[in-house]
Amino acid sequence: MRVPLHEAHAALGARFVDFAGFEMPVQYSSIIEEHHAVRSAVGVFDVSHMSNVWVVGRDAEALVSRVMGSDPAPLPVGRGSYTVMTRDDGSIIDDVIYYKFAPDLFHVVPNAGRNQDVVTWMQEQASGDVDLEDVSREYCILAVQGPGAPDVLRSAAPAAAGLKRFRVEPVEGDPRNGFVSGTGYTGERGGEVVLPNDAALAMFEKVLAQGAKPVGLGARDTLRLEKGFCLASHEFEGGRTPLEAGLEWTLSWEHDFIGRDALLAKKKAGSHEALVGLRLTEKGVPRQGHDVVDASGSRVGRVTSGTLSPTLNEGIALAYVAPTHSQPGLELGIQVRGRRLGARIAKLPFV
Amino acid sequence: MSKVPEDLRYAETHEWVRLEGDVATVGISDFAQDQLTDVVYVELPKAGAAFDAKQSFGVVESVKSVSDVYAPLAGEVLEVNSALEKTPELVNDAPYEKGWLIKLKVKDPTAAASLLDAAGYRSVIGE
Repeated sequence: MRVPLHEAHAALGARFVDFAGFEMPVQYSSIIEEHHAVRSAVGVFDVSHMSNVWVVGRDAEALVSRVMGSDPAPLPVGRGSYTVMTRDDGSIIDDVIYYKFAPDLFHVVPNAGRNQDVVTWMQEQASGDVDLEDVSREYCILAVQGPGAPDVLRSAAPAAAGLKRFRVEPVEGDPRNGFVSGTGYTGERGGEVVLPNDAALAMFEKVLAQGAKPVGLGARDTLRLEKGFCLASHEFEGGRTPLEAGLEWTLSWEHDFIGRDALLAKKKAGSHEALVGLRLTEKGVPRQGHDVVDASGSRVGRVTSGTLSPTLNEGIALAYVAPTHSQPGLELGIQVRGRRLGARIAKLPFV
Repeated sequence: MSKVPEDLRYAETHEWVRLEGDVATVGISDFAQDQLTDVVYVELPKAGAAFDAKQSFGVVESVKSVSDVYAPLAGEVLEVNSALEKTPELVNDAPYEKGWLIKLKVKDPTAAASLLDAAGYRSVIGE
């Protein structure tokens, strides 16, 4: 599948890669250049492959409360929440951001390719007066990120002026006409603009004209990894729980949500693996699937994501390790193509 | 359109060879570095290591991928490009000059004739 702005990306010289069934720009000039542009100036990502779902009705908030790890009830209108949706056994279905436009109007952003699962799940849990509308292919999402992003966003979308982190503002009147949120996946300032498809090209061109550099999924991955952010298809593979993935902070234990009891039991048992950050202490690039070993060479974990950090110029990785081997500063090894490369557990974020 | 110097020989796996007597300098082509994009790490053998033709002698890593590099001719490693440890991006910037990978003492220099010439390599990469 192609996103609506595909031709614009091709015209900018993008190379494309498949992600979740979508042909997406992986880079325009160079992954490393694009990465540095976001850390030092401003970049724009087309993440229209991600999903969009409206949850509408008197019982919308009750449904969101039931399926989400965080509690929407105390969330003020005009606010977003990053959390996970879990099954009865506490395993993660997806990590999402949802926005509260009104107690009877929520917008959920699942990951690319996960909208059908999320909508089906929510439909099964729904009762009373609530409707789910999967509008994933009707909206584009442009993320503008970097120290210079607030200025670019303000010029391109006046509604973004003064937009604080996790606040959300309709572009004009009805949020269905589009909205801007103080969110992102890079750890830099900026936000994300959600617009109906026919408004996306004009916004993209405005943002580029303001000096934003187009950035692809290649740099998106190095940027999020430097900050220790999870990528669902890597860090949640194999039935991981938010406890293992370091996402307990996104849960609100005080409200009843699906998976809560199972998670409380696991928390009490405390024997689950832990997601840690690893920094290589010698040259090399760790990657998904590489074994993590202790001093004697026994496997104590496995890498879920790895890359060369453009900011640090060192190999960095996220890995699940046994709880006995999860302390910051612990020296471990990563098996890369038959060789043991030294690594150390680092606190997140790396950068 | 990538650069394909006329005076070199090429393997289908995108390595180039500059043969001077029985010493072959080996690197990867402009097409290959462009496909890989930002090279961040190069794994090279030690001097003295011996390789058969088509045997992997190392690895070139970009942010997104890992690629084996193969000996175009059988031989023994005389020298490796130590500059690549600090500056792996030389492979991108100057694939035929400063970005060379290894120098081989070649067993049989006449075997270079069975490698592709520039025109042959250009048709392999469709240019």
